[in-house]
Amino acid sequence: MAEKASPSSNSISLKTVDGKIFKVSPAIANQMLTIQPLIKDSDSSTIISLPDVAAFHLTKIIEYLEGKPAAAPSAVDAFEAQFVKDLSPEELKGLLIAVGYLKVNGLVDLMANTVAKLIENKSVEYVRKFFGVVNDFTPAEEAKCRQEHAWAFDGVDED
Amino acid sequence: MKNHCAQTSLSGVLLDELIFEILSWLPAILLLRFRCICKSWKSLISDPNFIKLHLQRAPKNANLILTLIGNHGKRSAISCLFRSLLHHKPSSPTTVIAENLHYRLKLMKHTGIGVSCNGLICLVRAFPRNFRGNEFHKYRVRLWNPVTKLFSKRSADLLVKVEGRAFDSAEFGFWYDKLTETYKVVAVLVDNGASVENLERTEVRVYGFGDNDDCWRKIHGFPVFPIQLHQDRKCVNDTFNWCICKSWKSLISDPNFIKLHLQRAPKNANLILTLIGNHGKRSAISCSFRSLFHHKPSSPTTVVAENVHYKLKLMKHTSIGVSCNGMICLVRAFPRNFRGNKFHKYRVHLWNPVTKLFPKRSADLLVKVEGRVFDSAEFGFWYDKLTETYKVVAVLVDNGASVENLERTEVRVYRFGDNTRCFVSA
Repeated sequence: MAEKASPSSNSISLKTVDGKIFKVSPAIANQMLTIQPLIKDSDSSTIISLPDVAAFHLTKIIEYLEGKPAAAPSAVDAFEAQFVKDLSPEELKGLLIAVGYLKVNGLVDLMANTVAKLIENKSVEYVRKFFGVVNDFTPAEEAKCRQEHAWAFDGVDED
Repeated sequence: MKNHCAQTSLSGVLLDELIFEILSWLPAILLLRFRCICKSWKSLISDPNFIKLHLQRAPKNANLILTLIGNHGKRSAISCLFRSLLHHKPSSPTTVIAENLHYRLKLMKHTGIGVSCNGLICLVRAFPRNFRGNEFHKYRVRLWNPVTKLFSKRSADLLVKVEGRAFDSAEFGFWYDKLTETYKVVAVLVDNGASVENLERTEVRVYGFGDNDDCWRKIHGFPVFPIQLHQDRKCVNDTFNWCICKSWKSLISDPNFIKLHLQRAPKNANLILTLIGNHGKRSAISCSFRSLFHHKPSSPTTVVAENVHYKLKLMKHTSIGVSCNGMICLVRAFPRNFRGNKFHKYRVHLWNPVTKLFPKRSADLLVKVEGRVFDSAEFGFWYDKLTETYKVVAVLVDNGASVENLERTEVRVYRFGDNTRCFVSA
């Protein structure tokens, strides 16, 4: 997973799916568990390609890893709330996929929790559409499944 | 590896493991709904590993259990989400309760609703006294999940020789034993009356759901001690109590540490016992299950005796209510003759049985009598993550709380730490 780049400091070069190259410090790169083993074998001229990560997502991930306050968890909460505040549902989903692929420390929980809030109390139809899930139940199977827990379908929020 | 630009669509189907992560943060009731999304979600939601993770992460204490009495005194239990009671989704509390009524659990005669743990509720059936020629009391326990409406198998029968014991003299608690991954039920059998002399016959029995030996094992050496267990006992989370050095002390009182600890600490680690002393004075003590059963550091007698030293003296008319996050709700119902019998008055305290701390008491809740029975308010409380406050909800039911007549059901909410200091109508 390497191609030569101009040797600079000991920063790691990451290449996104849309062809942008980011230079990050080993401390940052080490928090992406998926690429951790690649970092050991690489020198400053190595470029690691990230097939599932777009530049926008990597920018956000680096913003998170660099900006996350080290100590006080209350500051972390505030920082995390701010971090996800302005993201659209589509951006959140994309970022979750990128974060899931890179296995970024702490960020998987935050993103999964944030996406969970988007579908809280939504209808089955809404959630299928939201995640692009194909319904593989037959109508009879689905009706039976709904029948089994009919009380779970009261009070659904509007889509 | 060169430019391995896979054609993965970023907005397309999420990977299973990410779905796993997302769903683990949702309330249980939604998981029941989302079983119908597709086959792989359905199997994921019933996966034991998923269920374990979900128990850790899902919102705690999301349901209020109400007991209603219908025609001919038939009782039933319903569970309502706090969320739907308060946010009027889709409509008024009366409607929410009416909808849930449709799925009510009909309680058999002599069946009582006991403590809860991990979202499960302990149902105790006490058989009438005339069993086997009055020689034995018989009890049977089941666990009920009010969200999925599923039952555990029923426990083996617990037979207790009468020999002067009062009926209803067994008190039950239960908790999840992480080591064996089973639910354990503990029954404390108390002797008739509160006199010191015959308390020697107080016994502790344990039943494990899923254990191979399908029986109530006797635990030896339970206190020979002037205690009487009363109706009130709840299981609560354990919290911290170490004092090692100054830096630990400040760490341990850090609000953020407390939050993390609440997430991670063992759930349901304490049994709350209510003791009745001289002149009928009641007090509450908490013992950890661990110290009661594993005899650490010493015998259960010592454990209880030590804890009695730190007992909470209960005022008259104060009862121990539900628990959440290791806090226990104490409800004081003032006698009826308040303000010329026109109002019922209630006051709520939260109590941490481990730190022995009380937050401020609540404002008074005044309820016009108008034909309501006394003790017609049911209290529940939970921790609201958003506002980071504890909220108490009181559901006021009409006289008789009948299933057929719900019109005058009212819901009031009190928020600890709020400036308004009053019970707000929801």
